[in-house]
This record gives sequence, C-alpha cells and structure tokens, in this order.
Amino acid sequence: MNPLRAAARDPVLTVADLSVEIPTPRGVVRAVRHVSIEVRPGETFALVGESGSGKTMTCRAILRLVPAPGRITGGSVIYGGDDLVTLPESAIDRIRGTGISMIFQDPMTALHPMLTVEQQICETWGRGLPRQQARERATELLRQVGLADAQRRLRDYPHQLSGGQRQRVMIAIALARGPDLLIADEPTTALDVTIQAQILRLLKDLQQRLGMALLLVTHDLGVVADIADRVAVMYGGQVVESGPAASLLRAPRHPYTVGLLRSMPPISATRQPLEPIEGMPPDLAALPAGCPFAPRCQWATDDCRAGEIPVVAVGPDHMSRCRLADAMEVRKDGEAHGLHLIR
Amino acid sequence: MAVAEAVASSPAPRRRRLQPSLAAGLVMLAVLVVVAVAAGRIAPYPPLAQSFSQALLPPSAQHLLGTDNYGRDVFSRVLAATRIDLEIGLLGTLFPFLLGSALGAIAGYAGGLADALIMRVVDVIIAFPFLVLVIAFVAFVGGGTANVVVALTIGGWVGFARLVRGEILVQRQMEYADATRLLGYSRSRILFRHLLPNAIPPALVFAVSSITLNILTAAALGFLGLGVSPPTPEWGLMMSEGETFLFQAWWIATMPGLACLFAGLTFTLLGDGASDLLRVRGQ
Amino acid sequence: MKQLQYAARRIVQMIPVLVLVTIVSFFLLKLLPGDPAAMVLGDKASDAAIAAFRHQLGLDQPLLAQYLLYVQHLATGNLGTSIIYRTPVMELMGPRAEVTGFLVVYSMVLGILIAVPLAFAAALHRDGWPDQLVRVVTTIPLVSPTFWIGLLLLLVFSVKLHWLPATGFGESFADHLVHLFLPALTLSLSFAALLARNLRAAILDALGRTFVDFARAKGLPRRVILYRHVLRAALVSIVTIVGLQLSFAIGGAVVTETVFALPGLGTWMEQSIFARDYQVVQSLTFIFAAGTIVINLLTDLTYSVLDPRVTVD
Repeated sequence: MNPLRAAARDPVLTVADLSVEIPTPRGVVRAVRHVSIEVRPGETFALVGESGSGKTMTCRAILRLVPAPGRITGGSVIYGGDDLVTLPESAIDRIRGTGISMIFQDPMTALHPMLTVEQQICETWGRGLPRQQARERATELLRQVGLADAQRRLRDYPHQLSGGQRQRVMIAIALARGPDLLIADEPTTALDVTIQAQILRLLKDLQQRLGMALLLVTHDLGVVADIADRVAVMYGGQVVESGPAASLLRAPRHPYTVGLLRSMPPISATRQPLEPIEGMPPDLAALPAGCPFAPRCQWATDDCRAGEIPVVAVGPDHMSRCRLADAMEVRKDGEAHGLHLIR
Repeated sequence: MAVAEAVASSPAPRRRRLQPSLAAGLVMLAVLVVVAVAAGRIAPYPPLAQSFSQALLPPSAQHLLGTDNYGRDVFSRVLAATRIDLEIGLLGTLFPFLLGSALGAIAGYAGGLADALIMRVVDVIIAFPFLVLVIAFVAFVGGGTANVVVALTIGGWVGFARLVRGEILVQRQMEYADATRLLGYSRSRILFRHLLPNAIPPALVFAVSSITLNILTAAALGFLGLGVSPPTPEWGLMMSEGETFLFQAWWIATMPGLACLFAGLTFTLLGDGASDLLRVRGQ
Repeated sequence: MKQLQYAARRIVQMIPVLVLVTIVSFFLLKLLPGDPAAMVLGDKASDAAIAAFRHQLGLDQPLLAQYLLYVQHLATGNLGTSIIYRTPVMELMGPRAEVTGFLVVYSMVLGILIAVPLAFAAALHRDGWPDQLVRVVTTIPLVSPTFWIGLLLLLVFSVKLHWLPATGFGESFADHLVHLFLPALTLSLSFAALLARNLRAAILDALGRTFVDFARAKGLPRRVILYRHVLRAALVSIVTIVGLQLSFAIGGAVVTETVFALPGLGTWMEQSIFARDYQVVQSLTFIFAAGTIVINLLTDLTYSVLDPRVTVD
C-alpha cells in the first residue's frame, strides 16, 4: 500500500512511551524503554534489531503477554480507542485474536503438541460455530495460507508437519478471526532458508489480500527492504531510529542503523567486505547513562554519554535518537553506505 | 492474569544455609534415636505391665496417651515400639540399597547378558504390587523382624537397581569415563573409583526417602498381624489391637499412628533436604 | 493404525514378564517350611490324603514338570481349590474381584477429583499461601499409614457423626458408592497427594510453554487455556505416576479392605493367610501381579492416546 495514503488515516495501533521491566536476581532488566510506534492500517511495519534489543518484548507487551515476573511499567497501547495496558483481562481477550493477533518464532513450541490442527483452529471460534461449519472454514483457512491437501492436514498433529507447514498452520490460526493487525515475531527464524522466503511472501500476500496491518519483527534488513513500508530500529530497549523503509535504508540517520547496514551482505553483486559492529549489545540490567550505543559508536562524544538523548526529526516521518543525527551526511557510493561527519 | 502471575517469581535458589525443613528433620531424627535407645528409661511404665483396673483409661496426667484394654500405658508402649519400627525401617532400607546398588552397577557397567538377566528380574518384581509381594512372602515364610526385613529387601532392591544402572549409563557416556579407559585403568577401578561415586549419591537420597515407605509397610504388616507377635509393642500391631476398641477408646489406635506419622515425616524431611543438597552439588 | 501397532507391540512385550511372574508365584508355595501338601491340608489330614494331594499338585514329579503343570492349570483358568471353602478359587474370585476393582477405580477417580483443584490452586499461586497449604496437606497422607487414616475417617464419619456406613459393599451401584466412599477416600489420599504434587510441577512447566502464550494471543478464555491446553499437557506427564500409583493402590487395597471389612480380594487374602489356605494366597498373589501388568499396559496405551507423539519412536 502506498505509504502516503496509509498515513492519511488514523493508526490502527499507537504505542506511546511503553516501558517493560523484568526484576531478576541481577537487578531490574529494562527490556523496553519508552518505546513509541504507530502502525497504520494496511501497512507493513518492521521492528528491527539484534536479539535482546527489546523487539519481542515490545510485541508481547502490546498484547499484554509479558512473561512474569516482567511487567509493563508505563506508557499506553491504544487500539480501537482502548488502552490495552489498563484494560481488564476479560476485555483484552476480546481484542486478542480478533483485533490483534500474533505469531511466534518457533511454531513447534507455539502449537500445542497434543491437539490436532483442526482443534487448534476451531477452538478460536468457541462453541458457537457448529462443528461441520467450523471444519469447512478451517479448511478454507488452510487453503488460504497455501497448505496443500488442507482437508487431510486438519487431522494432523504438529509433529506430523514440516517446519514450513507448521508455520503456515500458525498463521492460519492467527488469522482465524480476521484481525486488523498481525504481529509476526521473527516468523522465519526457525525455518530453512528456502522456506523463509515463501513464508514472507505469504505474509505479504495475505496482508495485501486481507487489507490488514502487519507488524513484523526481524533482524534482517534485507527482509525490511523487501516488504516493509516503515521501520523502527531498536537498540538497548529503545527505538533509536524510525521512518519510511525506503529513506531509512537509503539514508540512515543513526550510527547503529549504519552499522547494521554495513554488516549486511549487499543485495547487488558489488563485492564489499562486511563490517561487523564491534563490541557487545548492552546489558539491559546495567545500562550506561546516555546513549546505549555510545560504547560501540566510533563517533560518540562525551555528550552522548550523559543524559537522555532526545529524539529529533530528520526528515518527513523520519526520526532519530542521536545527537549527531543532524550533523550526519550520508553519501551514496553505489551500494555501500558511507557516512561522513561534517565537523 | 493469574496465568502469567503463576509463572512469576521463580525463587532464586537460596540453599547455602541449612534449610529449615532439613534442620527440623535432623532434630526429629535426634528425638527418634534418643527414644529408640532410651525408651526404657523415659517411659513412665513398663510397656508390658498389665493392670485390669486401669484398662481403657482416656489420656490423663497419669497416662499421657491413655491405657489399652489390658491397662497397659499407651505412651510407654509407643515409646518402646520406636526401636523395633525404626530397626525394620532402617535395615529394610539398608539391605535393598546395598543389593540393588550392586546389581544395578553390574547391570549398567557390564551390560550384555548380565544386564538382560538382572533387568528381567527387575521387571518381574516390579510386576508385583510392593505390599502384595511383601505380604505374600511373609505369609509363606512367617513373620518376625528378620523375615520382614528380607521381604522388604526382595521387594525394594529393584528401585535402587534401576536408579544406579541409569546413573552408571549416564556417567559412562561422559567424557571422563573415556579418558580413564584410555589411561589404562582396570575395569573394576573405573567402576569403583569413578562411576560408582557419581552414581551412589542419588541412590542414597532415594534410600533416605524410602525409609518412610518401609516404616509404613512394616506398620501395615503389623496391622495385618504378619509382623512381630504380641505382646511385643509395635506401632502397626498396636493399631490393630486398638481397632477392636475404636468405639470405646479411640486413643489406642490413634496414638501409635501419630508416632508413625512422626517417623515418616522425619525421613521425608531428611530425604527432601538430602535431595536439595545433591542438587546444589550437581550445579 | 499406528496406535494399534503400538498396542500390539506392548502386548507382546508383556508376555515374557507374565511368564516370569508365574515362576515367582509357583515358587511361593516352595517357601513354606516343610511339605507344602501337609501345610496346605493342615495337621488333621491323613497320610493318604496328603499323598493324594501331592499327586494332584504334581509334587511327586520333578520340579520342571511341576511348574509346567502349574502353568497349564493357570492357562486353563484353574487357580487351585480353597481348602476352607472347598471350592475352586476361580469361582470364589468373581464377586470379590468386583469389590476390589470397584474400590481401586473409585479411589483413583476420587484421587483425581481431589488432586486437580489442589494442583491448580498451588500452581496458580506459586509460593503463596495456597501453595504452602497444599504442600503441608499433601505431606500427611504420604507419611502416615493408609489404614490408620482409614481408622480415623471411620472414627469421625461413622462412629462420631454417623454420616456414612462403616462396613459392607451394598447392593446397588449407588449403594456401592455410599458404602465404599470412606474406603475409597482412604485409599485415594496418598495417591491424591502424590498426584497433586506432580501435577503442580507439570502445570507450572506447561504454563511456561510458548503454546500457552499463543493460546492467549488467540484470545482463548482463561478457563479454556487452563483445562484444555495446560491440564492436557500436564496430565500426559503424570500418566506414568498414575500407573505406578495404581500398583501401590492395589497393595493398599489389601489393608484398606480389612479396615472396613469389605468382602474383596484383600480381605480374602488376609483371611486365607490366617486360615493357612495357601493355594488361595498363591493364586491371589498371581492375580494381583497379573492385574498390575494389565494396568501398566493400559497406562502405556492411555499415554499413547493422550500424546500422539509416543507411538512414533
């Protein structure tokens, strides 16, 4: 969908200032820190970052599925005029699955091992739907997610399916009640490389066909380039940069995004040595003052290590949480992403 | 929300200090041992002394736990019974532990025919309900402490054999077993110096907990009249004698049961404590 | 289809154990100090009667032949004759087995009804007071004699409160339920305690699984998640314990029956021991073992029905 047209409408989901903390014996892990994102109707919004950056926890917090002892400590998640953070549990149950649905990383563990595909799809409709009708709808759903031999698959248990089939089943279950927004938490990580592309294409396909919004969590910028309309890059529990996929990938305005792009194999044939980002992701239980990326950032100054970094607008719909964002000039050398500071 | 809350608060293991349950178990064990050794001196009356004028008296200052139908002091008899029940419980665990560990080690280490033979016997013993096997053995051979201990051994060794065999098989997989073999150590040295020391602690923990089971089984045999013969004070036998007078004198059957519960709880607490210690060691 | 194959394989595996069990029960009679025939027939039997009996049992033949005769008798349903009743054991077995079977199944049902709520209460309030309380309450039946608990229940509910009958089996099914309530409760408590503890751990484990998160993300109500997803996964992991406990329950039934004077196999076994009716004791021992083997088989099969992954080795 054309991002400009999407932007004209109200967001389907507005996450504002969301924070999640997990008390552990080592101290409080601040997994999500003041995250704000908007997902617009019908768009694909990608949440990008290394493992441990808070992507998954943000998604879980949206549906209030933060595993205890973690809990949401602040912010709001607005969907359909309701704040999901403060809604009673019974009301949340009416939004889960129908309004917002979610699929998980590993379908093997997310599907119940002792229930058939049919049972796991049909139970989402409750007792109201007659069995035969439910079965027909389930078959239709499985066809929709491209599962061959849908009728027979209904009787299968998850262990009888291949990894790709399992993921298709999980997607079918998540779509069973026609959600406006599907959250997909690294849906291809557990799959073979050949299957990954199929599943992504299926997701994109379904999204366009059903007109729903897709919140896709990934660590793969290639996937973002392929299917995302807008992106938020997370680091150390924060969104460090967000914006339209095209401009963010072409002209990143945060050193971490730049690092991610450089460590990624180029899509074209231009051979260029990959540059890993030096250093380790931050310990969320002992975050440094200032910018969490500062210890790994070659341009970091003393300013970066003191105080919260403000978010600045760097372009239309494009934000960066970097003191140097304005001073950053990005030059395009073919596919290589060079960055020079005007000093 | 409770679904999430339940997963909450996985408590950090704090096992460095002596756990309260283990401490309580040790104190209770001390009480049991003192009573078993010195029952004669603690008891207010001789356990066999009859007095028909004193029959079926409810608990009072004079007779703490009342008297039975022969006018014998229940408290004194409960104390006197401690020794014999403890003896059966301990010996009835020690012998199965020794026999089962040895056979389990042989099965696990030697493998092949020895393993197959031993494990078939294990299968057979396990096919019998433990209590039925013990009752049947005593029924044919006769009662008395020694026979009860033999019966407990026949029924009980299989648990240890399975456990030790399993541990040995796991230990054998580990690298150091290969390493010791390469060093040219003899088979028996590998078994006794390297494999057994690692396999025995779990069996010991199991042994401590099974003392409870054996005390309860001994009491059941006594209750059925298959253990020691009257008038020897034994908890199970006392409960069976008290059953007849349940309507008039509830205390005769109740009090020995409480003693049994106390002993059972002691070894359960010790068993739990021991398994916690083992887990700490394993980490 | 796969499950049928699995069942067939398990039944075949059962046969050698059953054969070995016959060896054990055969040798039980040999444990008697002295001549089995004399012991069985008692002091008053004439030498001729003893000789005849020896011949009938095949005691005048070599050991192997004796054993084969014993197995042949078992295979044809000949479990020997009760000296006391002067009736084939097989004929006496039926009504008594019904009582014991009823008692054991009843106690299992009660045990599950007690254990499931306790386990959920403990697991859903982990480390809270319900958890602590369940831990304490479930300790008691595990450390005290079953028959003693039976006596206490008898004392309170029959003798003092007159709520329930103290003995007997009753006539109708409803009658059985009333008469056997206290015995079944007695027998069920240690089973319930063990089940509750293991189920608590299994529920906690299941709650931490991703399929619970996914079920919540699907918008399933809490009740459905707990009873369909969590309990189902938890039950599978405890089927083994149920099987093990059934074997214990059969042993416990012997003692429990005598407390409540129930006309079952356990009471019969006790009476036969004291009446020196050794063939009955021998046959009952065999029957108890055979029953346990069958129960273990049923447990395994239940397991394979509950968890579809089991049959795929």
